[in-house]
Amino acid sequence: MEQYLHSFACMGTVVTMQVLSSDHSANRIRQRDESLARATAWFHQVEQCCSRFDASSELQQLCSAPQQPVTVSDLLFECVQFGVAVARATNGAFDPTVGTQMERRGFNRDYRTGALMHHSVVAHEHATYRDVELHEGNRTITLHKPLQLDLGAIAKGLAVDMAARELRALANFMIDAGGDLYVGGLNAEGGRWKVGIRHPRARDQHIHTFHVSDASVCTSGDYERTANDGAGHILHAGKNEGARELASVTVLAPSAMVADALATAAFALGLSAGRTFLEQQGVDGLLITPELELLHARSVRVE
Amino acid sequence: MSNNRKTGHLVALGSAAVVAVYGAGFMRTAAAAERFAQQSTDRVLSPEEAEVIAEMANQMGTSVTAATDTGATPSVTAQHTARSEKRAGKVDATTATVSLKAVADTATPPRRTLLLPSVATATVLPNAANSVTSAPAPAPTKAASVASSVVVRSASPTAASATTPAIVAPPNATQTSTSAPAPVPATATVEEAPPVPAAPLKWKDGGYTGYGTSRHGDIEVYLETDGGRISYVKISQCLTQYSCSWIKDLPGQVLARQGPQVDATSGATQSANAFYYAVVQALSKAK
Repeated sequence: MEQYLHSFACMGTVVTMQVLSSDHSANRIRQRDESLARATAWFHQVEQCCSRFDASSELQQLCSAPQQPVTVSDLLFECVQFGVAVARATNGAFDPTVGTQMERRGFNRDYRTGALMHHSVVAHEHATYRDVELHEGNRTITLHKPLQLDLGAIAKGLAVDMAARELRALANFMIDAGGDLYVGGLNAEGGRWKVGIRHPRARDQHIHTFHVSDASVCTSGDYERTANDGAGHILHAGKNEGARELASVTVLAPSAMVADALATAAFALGLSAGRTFLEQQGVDGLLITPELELLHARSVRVE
Repeated sequence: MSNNRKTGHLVALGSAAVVAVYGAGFMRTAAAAERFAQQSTDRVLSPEEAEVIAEMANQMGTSVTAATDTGATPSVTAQHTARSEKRAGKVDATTATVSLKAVADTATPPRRTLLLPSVATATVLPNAANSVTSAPAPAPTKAASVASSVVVRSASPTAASATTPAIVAPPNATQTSTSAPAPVPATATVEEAPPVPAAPLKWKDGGYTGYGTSRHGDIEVYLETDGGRISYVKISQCLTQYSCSWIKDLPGQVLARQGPQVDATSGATQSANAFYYAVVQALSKAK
């Protein structure tokens, strides 16, 4: 079984795609390379659409045109719609309209150039997800107050999901977008993929291992990016300060967009509410406290 | 509580969104991928077809094609890595065939699958019909300035035996051929195109330096490969605005990831700090 790796930088992280194959025929190789090319292109397309650091992105053009219906692409529409849905489900603990808060706290550099970004939108102080109106029929979005959308959690997950679709025909593969994973099929040993969860305090150790196939594993935590005050970049939107009750949350879900957003949401909700939330949503998860206590969220059938 | 009505549905909503977005983009490429999966018979291009398609490919390298379906993302894709930029003007093997298939669909009776080893890169379009963004998307080239696409094969005992370049023209119409990438049929003039650079079988042994920039500043990394694996990683220069102490564990991670205990690691967002860029760049020299 041969392992083929393809890596590139995108969306503020390094993306690695791994394809396993014991078939070395020309057709298989061509299929693999074309699939990887399409999968890679999806990442760049999602970034170009959803980056809040790029004034020419579709997202920034939307945010520059508040208080009017703006026709947007399916990609942007679905991302915003999903973000708003998660915001509703968490009563705003997760809120994609926290862009200006993140800027004020220092997450405002274009990762590619390091340039300090000041978006042209002066966001309304009290703007929330409730000020985002989506019209499914004509695919328009109206921002009822000037605000800055941050689709970081959702867009990266969606890119992984698109790439996973492109690689699906290859059967056994893994996509790793800076810790957001999707695994398809089986690993090189013929078993389910072994996904280690990074120890929140010891970077080269794993605190837990999941065995996964055809699913996504995403983790939100307080230990990677630091804001100016060291509080971490997951914001509990209601309080405008870094959520500190958990060290990390890992979610397993059929889609990376879902896993990423729900991990981010659960992290913002804190230990008890986060665990309840995950179980209500029917996903498995692992919540780790700062004291390194591991709590599992086991999916529960709802309704 | 009203919340109960909203619980349990996000997974379904997310999955539906994924289907919707995927369906809206690359519609034709999805069909082509499924045909691959169904082991369909491939068809060799005639010399005339190959010439026409190569010409279209070269043109698409500098312009965007229009959407042919309302609301559908044109199915042209970009492989806009630093590698392909270096080979601007040459046909690059890593671009999806299916981009041209879309054009061919409208022009000719349905084909099974086009087989193109070398196609010029095309440019990604946003959903032109609906998008707020009116300009074609030149953004990929911005990203490419730091994104070195590193295409490697990990060291594996069987790797040495696979001498095929990344993409080859099919030997003939039967795709189940188990023979090695055989001599290409003379009928396909696309074979005259500049040769496809082979994906490296493994990293060449040696020491390599990479340089990465990020929001935090610049880092230079020195790494060594031995026997196709990364054997040593060091941050040789740290020019980040924050102290480098927080990244001192990263070299260990790069080495640790090669370990057998897990296949992959899920962790909180590992930002593309300069370190990762530097590693990717260093590895790109080890081809």
